[in-house]
Amino acid sequence: MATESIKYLAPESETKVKTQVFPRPGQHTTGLVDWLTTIDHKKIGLMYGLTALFFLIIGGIEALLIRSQLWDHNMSVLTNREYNQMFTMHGTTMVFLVIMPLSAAFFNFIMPLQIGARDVAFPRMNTLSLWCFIAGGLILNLSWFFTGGSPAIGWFGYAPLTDTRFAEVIGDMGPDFWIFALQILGVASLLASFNFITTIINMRAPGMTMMRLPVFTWMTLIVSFLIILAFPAITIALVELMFDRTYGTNFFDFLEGGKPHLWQHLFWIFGHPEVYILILPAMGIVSEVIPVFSRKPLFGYGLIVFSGAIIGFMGFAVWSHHMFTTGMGVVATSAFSILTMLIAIPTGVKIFNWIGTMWGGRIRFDTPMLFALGFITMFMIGGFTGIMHSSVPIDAQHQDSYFVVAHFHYVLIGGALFGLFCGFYFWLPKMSGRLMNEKLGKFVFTLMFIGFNLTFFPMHYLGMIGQPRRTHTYNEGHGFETWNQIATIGAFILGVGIVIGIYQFVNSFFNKKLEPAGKNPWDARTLEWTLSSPVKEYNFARNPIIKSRDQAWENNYGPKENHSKKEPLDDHGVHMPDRSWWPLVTALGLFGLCVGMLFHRTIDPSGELVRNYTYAILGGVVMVFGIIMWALEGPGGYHLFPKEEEE
Amino acid sequence: MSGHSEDPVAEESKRFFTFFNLSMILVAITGIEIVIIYVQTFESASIIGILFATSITKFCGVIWWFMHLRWDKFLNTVLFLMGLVIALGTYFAVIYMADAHPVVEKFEVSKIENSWKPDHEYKSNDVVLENGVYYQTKSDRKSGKSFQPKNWEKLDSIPHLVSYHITGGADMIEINSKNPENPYFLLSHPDGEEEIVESTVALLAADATAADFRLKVRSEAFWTEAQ
Amino acid sequence: MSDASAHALDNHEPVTSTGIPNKKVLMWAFLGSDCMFFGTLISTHLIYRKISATVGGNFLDIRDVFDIELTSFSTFILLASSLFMALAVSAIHKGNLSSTRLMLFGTIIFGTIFLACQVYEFTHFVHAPGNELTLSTYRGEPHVFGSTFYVLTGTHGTHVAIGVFWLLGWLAYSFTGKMSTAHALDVEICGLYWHFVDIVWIIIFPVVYLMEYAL
Repeated sequence: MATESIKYLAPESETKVKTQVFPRPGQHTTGLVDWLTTIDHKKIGLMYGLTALFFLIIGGIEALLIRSQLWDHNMSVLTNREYNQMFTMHGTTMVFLVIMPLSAAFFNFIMPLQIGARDVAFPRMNTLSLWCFIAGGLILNLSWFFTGGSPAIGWFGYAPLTDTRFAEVIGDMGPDFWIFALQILGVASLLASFNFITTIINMRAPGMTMMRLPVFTWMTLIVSFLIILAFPAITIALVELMFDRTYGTNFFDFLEGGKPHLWQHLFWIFGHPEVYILILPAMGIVSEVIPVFSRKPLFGYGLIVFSGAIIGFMGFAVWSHHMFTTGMGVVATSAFSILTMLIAIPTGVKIFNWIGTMWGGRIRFDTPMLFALGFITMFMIGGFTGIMHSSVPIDAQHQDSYFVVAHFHYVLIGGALFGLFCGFYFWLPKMSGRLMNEKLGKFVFTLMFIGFNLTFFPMHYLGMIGQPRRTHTYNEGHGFETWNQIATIGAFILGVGIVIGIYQFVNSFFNKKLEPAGKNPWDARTLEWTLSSPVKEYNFARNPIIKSRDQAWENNYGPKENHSKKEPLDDHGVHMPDRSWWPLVTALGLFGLCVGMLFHRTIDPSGELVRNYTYAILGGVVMVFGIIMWALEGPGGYHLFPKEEEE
Repeated sequence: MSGHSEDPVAEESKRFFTFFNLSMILVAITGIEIVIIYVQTFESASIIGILFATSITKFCGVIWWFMHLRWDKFLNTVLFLMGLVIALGTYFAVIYMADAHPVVEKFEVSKIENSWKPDHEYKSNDVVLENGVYYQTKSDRKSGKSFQPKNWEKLDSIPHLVSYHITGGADMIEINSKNPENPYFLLSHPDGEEEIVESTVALLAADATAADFRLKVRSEAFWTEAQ
Repeated sequence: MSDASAHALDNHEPVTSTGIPNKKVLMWAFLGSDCMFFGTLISTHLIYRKISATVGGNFLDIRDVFDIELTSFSTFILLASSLFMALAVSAIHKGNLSSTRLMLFGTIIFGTIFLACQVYEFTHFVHAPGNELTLSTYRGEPHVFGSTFYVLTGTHGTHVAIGVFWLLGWLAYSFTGKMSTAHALDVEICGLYWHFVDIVWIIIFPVVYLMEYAL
């Protein structure tokens, strides 16, 4: 490697750029400061994961409240407004605070290891994404404590219900919290995605061509592109809504020239790619796990990658299938119907390829494989009902019924959540260094599988016999009670399974009695399994030189010419980026700016509206200060000197 | 740095003139755009077309030269084009779908019950009922004291007045009969005006009302029917 | 290959798989994303121009409010600032610090003049006697034109302001004595952002302003 022209500092001194405000945390920082200022993708991944699991519990409680309310006709567990708040918060939490961050957790931890990199392209920006995510989760849940409580507008916030004109409670701030939370979460996702795109394109180890990338890394790339192209639509939609609510513009106000229909378009232009953002990471995980537990290479690697890309691209062309019943006209409706049917093709290709992978393989039914198989079967069921929706006359019957609720929970829990749990059981030994209890894992899977199907399969039937969605109760005489009760029981079983699973995950980091995992407990195929468990701070002691796909497998079983090599041990040591306070400060400033904007309005004694931007400006100043100091600080860095045999 | 040049200083010096010239060209094109607006002799559609072309030209000029895409690796162009192509595709679709929605305000079909009157000014194609039989005149005339069949053409069919009022703009209106025993078909292409109020005489085999007919109205992106 | 890496390492940039510096990949991906951002705003404006085109029963003729001379002037100003930006990037590649400073200064001045014109234009429109165009009304009647117009051009103006701020940062840094060709990439990235802001205006000017004179 041509490293001659760079001059490094002597090994013992730490590279510290002294700033006026804080000294930069050095390489030996530990404890709370370490976690607050870390730029290490692995630690950031763990924090994403832990926070997301916490929100999974919160969102789950919201779901169980909904299911309790629907146990019997005319129950009063929740009032109608509270019910609306529950399904709004449940949906928003699960989509933005659970599934997306769990995917981000895996992208962060695993992807750099899979491409042979030491960290992502912009480590401090990675930290900023994390703290923005936490700020967003906080703002969304702060809504419980202010006028109007949490938003009761649905996770999709349709205009004109979101207009202040229709607020159930005078001065309802719920939708405002919702708007700002989604904006910050959008910033977090965007920053992370730019980071991942740059990392995957630019920081692959020598010899790691694009077609040697693991499928999970490919899905990271595709999902990142989806995020950067889809989020701007909802950002603008939210800006327009915020202006309507705060400054009286008429974007969605039908009485003054606006068209609420436009909100639906803008939301779903984001919303449809969003559901592919939710499912593709899980598909990536499953594409890693199935070959490992069938002891066969992935069938049709190129096709799986290509279909993933096609699904991503076409995902932008089908958004109005969420709007079939809004009277768009025959031309638009037919076009979107056909495109939606077409998008089933690449999805089907993937499923056939997974089956082809298992065919003739030696299958081991460990917990990760159980979840992967659960994914395939449950996602297929969700996919079938999805195809049913693509037919417009049938969709007119399904719209707003429990049939749709069944569909998307099959793809989101049976698909995304099962896929992510598959990832946990597969990769957590690499992260924690310990193997989890296999029996308990299988028990968690059993509970989750049974609970999930008990809850959501009856909803297909309930939808067909007429139970409407988003309705806080039902009267006697429809025949809804029996299956609702079964669904509620199933929901609690699912909840218990999830909680035990979460306990297992967290426990594996602290329980010294668990068996050590070693480098490759599953005899897996990709590059991360050549490293020690847990992975060392610097990831790779020496940069690998890649010679083939599934490099770890080839190293163990393949011919000599396919084995990876390592770059010679560098005298200069391994260059590590320095920790930094500034991402945290910037995120705090952004949080302050949003809170300032949320509360900038007061009514003075004479009844006039007063706008006071002091706190917002303060937050903005802190944010800008953080960015300037960040820029001045530079990447910094220090050096580590791993021994020859360490990996 | 683009990282490919041997002597960055010389390269950049050459580019100075490119930038300057491009700048002048952009200014000139902008000047043309403004002049075209002032000089009102062009048709509206062609002005918009020209503006389209000039903005695309300027857009490409800045991207390719000022933003260095010409001299950089192609991947940069790809990254940008992805966003541009998806934005253009999505938003052309949305703008196309945002169309005026025609609304059928009124659709009526009623049998014409004009009895023949003496001393009455009749216009060409007027229809009268006399002694249970329908007659139609072919020219403007004034009727006399008593009914003269030779001045009238006897009709075998029963005339009805078909009238409709449509707002929201339409470019095609189709009316057909739902009853095969009582056929009727009318196709009209209005000029796309906001409000269409029309009535016409339909010669039918049997009595009919609006419920026996289907009125379909089409604008650029929507079909609507009378209920 | 070694040439490229030598060049790359002269700037202390890590060697990348594609040879393109990380920051450049980041900025181009961001600009692709920003296309969707402005696409949403522009199409919102166009959609409402199409389907909510009347006020008080008549077609909304915004020419009574628009001051096309002022807007044309600010368009030329922004184009000029783009030239200065390109020259600034050129200068820093050549290592000519004083020229860089001058060109950056020129960009900032012209960018600021553009912003000043926008601010003047907005206040002018809001208070135009008999033709007030506000966020929610036109001539006192509720309408959506003001909403789409101000939010679109305001967002563009905010992008310009961020750019001016960024450029001021570079101008200040150029006086610290620490600036050199090592920073050429970073100035180039700033230039990419500035040029993008210019091309968005290249689209907005005909579509929002000039087209009104062709309807």
